[in-house]
Amino acid sequence: MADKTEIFEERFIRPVGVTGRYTILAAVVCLFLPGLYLYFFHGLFPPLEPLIRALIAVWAFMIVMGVIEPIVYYPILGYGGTFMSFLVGNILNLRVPVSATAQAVAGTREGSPEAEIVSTLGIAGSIIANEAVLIIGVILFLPFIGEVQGSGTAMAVALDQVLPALFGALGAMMLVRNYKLGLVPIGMGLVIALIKDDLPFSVTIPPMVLVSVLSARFMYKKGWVKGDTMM
Amino acid sequence: MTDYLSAANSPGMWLACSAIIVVVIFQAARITMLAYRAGLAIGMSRQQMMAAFRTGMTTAIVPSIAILLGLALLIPRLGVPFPWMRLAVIGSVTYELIAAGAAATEMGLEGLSGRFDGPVFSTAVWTMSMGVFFGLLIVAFFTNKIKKMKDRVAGRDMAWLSVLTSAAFFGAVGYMVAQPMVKGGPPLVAMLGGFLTMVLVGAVIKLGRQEWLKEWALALSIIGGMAASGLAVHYLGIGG
Repeated sequence: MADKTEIFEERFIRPVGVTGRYTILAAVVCLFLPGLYLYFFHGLFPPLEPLIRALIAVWAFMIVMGVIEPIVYYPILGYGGTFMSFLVGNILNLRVPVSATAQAVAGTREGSPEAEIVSTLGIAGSIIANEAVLIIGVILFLPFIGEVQGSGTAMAVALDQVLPALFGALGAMMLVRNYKLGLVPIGMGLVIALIKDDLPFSVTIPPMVLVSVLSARFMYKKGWVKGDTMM
Repeated sequence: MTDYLSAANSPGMWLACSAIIVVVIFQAARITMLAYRAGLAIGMSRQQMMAAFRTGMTTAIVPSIAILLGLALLIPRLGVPFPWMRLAVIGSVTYELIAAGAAATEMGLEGLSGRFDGPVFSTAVWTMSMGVFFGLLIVAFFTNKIKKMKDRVAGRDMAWLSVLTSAAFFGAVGYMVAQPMVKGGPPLVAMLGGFLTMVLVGAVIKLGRQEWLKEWALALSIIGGMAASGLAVHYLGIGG
């Protein structure tokens, strides 16, 4: 038995760790290619001050989630699955169910080397299918871009409201799924919006995140909220 | 002022956006190979492993089509290749819309409904890109530590961590959820449409036991909200 663990460590954990780390670092470099391309070939570069403010807004919640999510999902995704899932994204709506289904189909014991292999293969399979659908889909979509991008079309008018529509959907998720966690941020957002309704995200997001987390901590300590299945 | 779209859809942009997808496919192929060989070495059967891979593929197809729907929402403002790259890698429709919206508001536009130009577009590109690289570095350098830590983090702490992530995300969007309520007009109609569609889809999932709808809930709700605002303009003359 100890032998099997050793083989697994040697043949799987170690090489996957090396592959995972270097492919992700390569991906981080590739992440900046579109921005650099726009700068060098079209002279497009963001004015620094708005960019920094937009980044403050995004980082205020992305850094918290970036640190916590790998820890929370690791037990489900496994070692190989973690490297792949966080690179490809769509973790809760795709990778977690895939990993769980693959493990259920194979009937492996949770936490065993077999479960790790099954989860890894399932997630890899989902990534291949995922990329194939996106590549085929975008090729099929190309002939119709003109229609969508013309301004003044009905589509363009409806698309103006994409953010409010998204926030309506998220508001419903917050209140239906875990209203105790949702009430404080929505309530506080409402109070701020009543005072001033055109604040940029960089001003509202950091303090809102702080208050929301502190109130969640309070409710958790009191035993009012016990856990949450995340988005 | 839709000139920036020719840059956004240029062949060079396609090339710049494709590089990361090559990395993703290479990573998945290489780890699959390692897992397959290690599986054989510890005595798993070929069939068992093939079944796992196939399950992954079939489970992913329908949600991937839902992601494609999200792509259609980003293309009018950001061109085709960049949103395609974002949703093929790391991103989710929710994050990308919020990041693009943050960039647009900081550039003085009213969310995504304002007119984009070159500087706004490049601000969105850099915000969306730089917003996620921190999380990637964590996974690159700390997955080993998480593996070791797994046994020590007890179930109770896990529960708190799950509450913490949700609270952080809820806090981030709280003001944006409230904004349309105060503003009224088309944003309010769109928001109510999104809200009601989500409640409705949620009810169908719960009461009708239609689990597969889960992956579609968000995209459907966004479309429901947009449709509501379009209908309100047409029939009630709200906004327009």
